[in-house]
Amino acid sequence: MRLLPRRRSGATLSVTPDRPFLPTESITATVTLDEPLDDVTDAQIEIGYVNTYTYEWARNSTTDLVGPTSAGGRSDAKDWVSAGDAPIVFAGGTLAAGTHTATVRLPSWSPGTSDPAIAWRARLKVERKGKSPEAEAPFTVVVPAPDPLPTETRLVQGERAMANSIRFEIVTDALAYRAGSVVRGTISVTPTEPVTKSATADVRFYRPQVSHPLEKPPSPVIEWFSRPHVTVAKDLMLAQGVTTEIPFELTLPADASPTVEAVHNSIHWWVLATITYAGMTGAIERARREIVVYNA
Amino acid sequence: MSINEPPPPQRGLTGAERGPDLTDLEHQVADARSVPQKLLAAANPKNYFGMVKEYPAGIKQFLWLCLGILYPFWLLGVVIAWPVIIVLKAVGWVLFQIWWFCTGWFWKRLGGEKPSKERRAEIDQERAAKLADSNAQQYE
Repeated sequence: MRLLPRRRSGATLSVTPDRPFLPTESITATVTLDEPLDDVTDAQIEIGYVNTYTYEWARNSTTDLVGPTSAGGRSDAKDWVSAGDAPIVFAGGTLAAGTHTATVRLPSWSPGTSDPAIAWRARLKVERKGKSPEAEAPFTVVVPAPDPLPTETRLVQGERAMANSIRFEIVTDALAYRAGSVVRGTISVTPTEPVTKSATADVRFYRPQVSHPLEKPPSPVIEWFSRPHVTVAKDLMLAQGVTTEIPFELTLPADASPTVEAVHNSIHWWVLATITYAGMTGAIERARREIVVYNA
Repeated sequence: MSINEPPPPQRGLTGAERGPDLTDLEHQVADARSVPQKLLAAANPKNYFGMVKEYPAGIKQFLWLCLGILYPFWLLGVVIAWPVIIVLKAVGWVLFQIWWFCTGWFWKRLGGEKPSKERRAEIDQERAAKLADSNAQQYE
């Protein structure tokens, strides 16, 4: 409940057709004005996305033993990224009451709607003397499989100095997947040091949110892991120099947000494989292979 | 293709792409401004109020209010700091001259490097002989 009633804006906006859009498709936005607007110099429908990203507002510039730290200094920011506009036709500096329509084409580089990074909106933009009405309507963008399909993605391993005794190779049956599909593949592990403990192999999805704002200081990576993880091998006895192959199967969530690269942040999908040695002091070795997720 | 679409917007840089953050000490060493320039920059209201510019809306305005209340005292502090820094720098210069003179004196006397074990024994012996000599002279 609001303390004061919301001021009536006098304009409403709707988007047709009422379904998710693909990049390069055209969107028709309809504005309904309750009253005519005078002294209008420019009127257009603008599409774009609200980019929600994290940044560091209280940056610690001193270096600790573990590197720069910024506990609690993270905050969310929302910035508008414009992706095109279309003019509303009017004459004589007066925008008549009633409906006006404009068609805007989604650019081919449009990132898909993604929670929480990208929320697409169509907005009314009026330039006039005095207060201009505000109206906006949300819509959804789904992205098709990348064309051409990727032939190579990143494999990241050895990120931890204390757990870096296994050479990994993660191979998946494809590099691009539709949301909801099954990711099948093989993990090949080759210990480079003598092994004395049995091990457990787990796989899960890893979806880091990498912050790269244009102006604000970037925050550290926000990590997300799919739960529960899938245990693919138990009581595994690895041996130094011997390659062990473990097949795995993981299912992407049906409503998975696609891989996106926005202006201020990016969200990528990875298959994360971990080898956990038994016992209290068993190291957790990990490696990850990037996959591209689409949803159209 | 006659399709006219806006170019993709430029993306920003991640922390790793921007390179490591300099620490305060590294900033101090790299700062080539003279003391009066630094003090004038410290008194500049743009820098003074700009120190909270990254804070979120609301908190920033509150901090501006606090900084505005403190600004006259800050200016007073800058004015007082000026002669204090000059005096401290002069004292430091004198201490450095004394230390540098001593360094040169020892350097010349000890042959420019740490003496070998034999040379050190020799120096100790000479010193002991000198001491014994002076003691003998005192008690005569």
